[in-house]
Amino acid sequence: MSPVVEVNELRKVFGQAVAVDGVSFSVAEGESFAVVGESGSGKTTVARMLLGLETPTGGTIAVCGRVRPAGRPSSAERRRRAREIQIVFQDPYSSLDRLQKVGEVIATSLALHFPLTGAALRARTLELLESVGLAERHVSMLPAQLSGGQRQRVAIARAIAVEPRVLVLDEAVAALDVSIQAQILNLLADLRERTGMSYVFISHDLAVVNQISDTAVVMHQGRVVERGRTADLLREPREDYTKALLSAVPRPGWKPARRPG
Amino acid sequence: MTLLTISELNLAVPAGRGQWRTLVEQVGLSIGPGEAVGLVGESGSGKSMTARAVIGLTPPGARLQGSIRFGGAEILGLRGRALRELRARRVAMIFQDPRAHINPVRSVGDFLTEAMTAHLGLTAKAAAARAVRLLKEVGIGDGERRLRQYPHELSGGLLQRVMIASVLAVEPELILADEPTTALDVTTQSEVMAILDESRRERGTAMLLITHDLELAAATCDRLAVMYAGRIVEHYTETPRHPYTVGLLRSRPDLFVRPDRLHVIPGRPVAAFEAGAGCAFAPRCPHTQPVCLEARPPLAGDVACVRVEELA
Repeated sequence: MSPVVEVNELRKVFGQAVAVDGVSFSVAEGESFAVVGESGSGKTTVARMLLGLETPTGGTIAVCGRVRPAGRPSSAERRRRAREIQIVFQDPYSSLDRLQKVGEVIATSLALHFPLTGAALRARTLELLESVGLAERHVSMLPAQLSGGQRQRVAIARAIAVEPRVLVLDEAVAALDVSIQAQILNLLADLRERTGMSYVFISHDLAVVNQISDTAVVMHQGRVVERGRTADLLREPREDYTKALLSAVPRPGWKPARRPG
Repeated sequence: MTLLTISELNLAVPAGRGQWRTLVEQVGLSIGPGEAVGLVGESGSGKSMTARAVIGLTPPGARLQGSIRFGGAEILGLRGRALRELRARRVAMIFQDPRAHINPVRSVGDFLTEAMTAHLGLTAKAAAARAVRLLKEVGIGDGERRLRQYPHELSGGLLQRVMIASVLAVEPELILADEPTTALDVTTQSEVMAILDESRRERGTAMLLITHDLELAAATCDRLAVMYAGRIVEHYTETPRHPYTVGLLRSRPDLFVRPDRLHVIPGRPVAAFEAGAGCAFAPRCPHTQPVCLEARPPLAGDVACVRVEELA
């Protein structure tokens, strides 16, 4: 399998602070890849660079076999990238336009990328909403009329509308209630099975990462400290930092510790 | 002897045109001195409102019924000086987002010493020295420098420790901790919970931990109360029996086991005012029968489920 995402020696510096330092990884076609880390680890900066929301200070990013050219992308280039890679953010309350109806969120994205109009556009919009577990009655609703879980479904439908090869999920289930989180994780598993999309799943939650990803890297202070198959990483962590992360997760018999690890 | 006893607490907020929205319904809960109780629920369950009612931090115009007794005296509806006294010395609250609850234009030192000089009668110098000791206790070493800093100069984890230090400063009998670690990293969460646990064992402070995290509550509390749609649906210590609690535990992903699909509770959590006549969980429950839709099940034998015996 050829990688759909290939990141090489990626680096990002903000002023004096090195946010991402020499990060390399590749994601295979249809693979679910997790970037694990705590706040300040640089995981979200990696996600933003993949999308082109931040410009790397150094290193290269190749998506679908194409190395991203340096500098400001043209609008044609941006549209092309949008077909390759999409993102779902953590907070479904702030990532949707509160004045845009659910149907319009999806239709706008569709109309920008496909020659769809009228009835065909409406039919495809409805099809997408149904694929994420929403119904026709949601089409004319505003984000404020939806629950957090429903909003995240809209954000996912918007992202997959353009049929991207890669979907980046930046803490996409972290703000959801436990019972809703399980629904969205199952939905993501179904979608990947159906479409063959690759996932880059950014998360601090090791149990969620175990459920959703095949392979993972653990980031700490801008660097990758450990990588491997997710199941192996969790069962036999080699690095002290990974061990500390793992031992800090509450579970039966767990006791909080002042110095974890 | 109990320290805090909440009984038949009802809380409703005005919804306009003479209508009321019920957020908390018939909640009963007690905590003994030095005991840690976890109040667990999803959003809208009423867990935060229940805790806030204890120190009168309810929304404007809220209608409260029932009783909240603390140290033998009724504190529901307390106002003015008596309420300030209660909040200043006896019951302290830790909030989820310390940045939203610490004055950004005052220094950490001002924040920490204000209560000590105002309520404990300490001099400014003695209060500063005590603040440094408290910071050390919550794992912040260079106290003198921290006292001169402002909230924006501290990370979320450090600021939450400052909030805990401010709570320990007044040596309250009860700490209400409302999602104290939800905004923190897991390694910081572990440390903050250890600090709270330590203070409880050393000073005998009681704690009500409000959280959405069943595993965290189970690991750090003596017993748990689970809320759904404004009601306590279950009290338990080891093994939950209510279909909601059982379902929640099963739907949480695991660190080591990876099922093909996670167990799912269909639908979404509701608030008390959205629930129908019967059991509020009935529309999402796999065991629902006509009897479940007739009336709210009473909290009998610590589980509010009419079918709990046959399901066991």
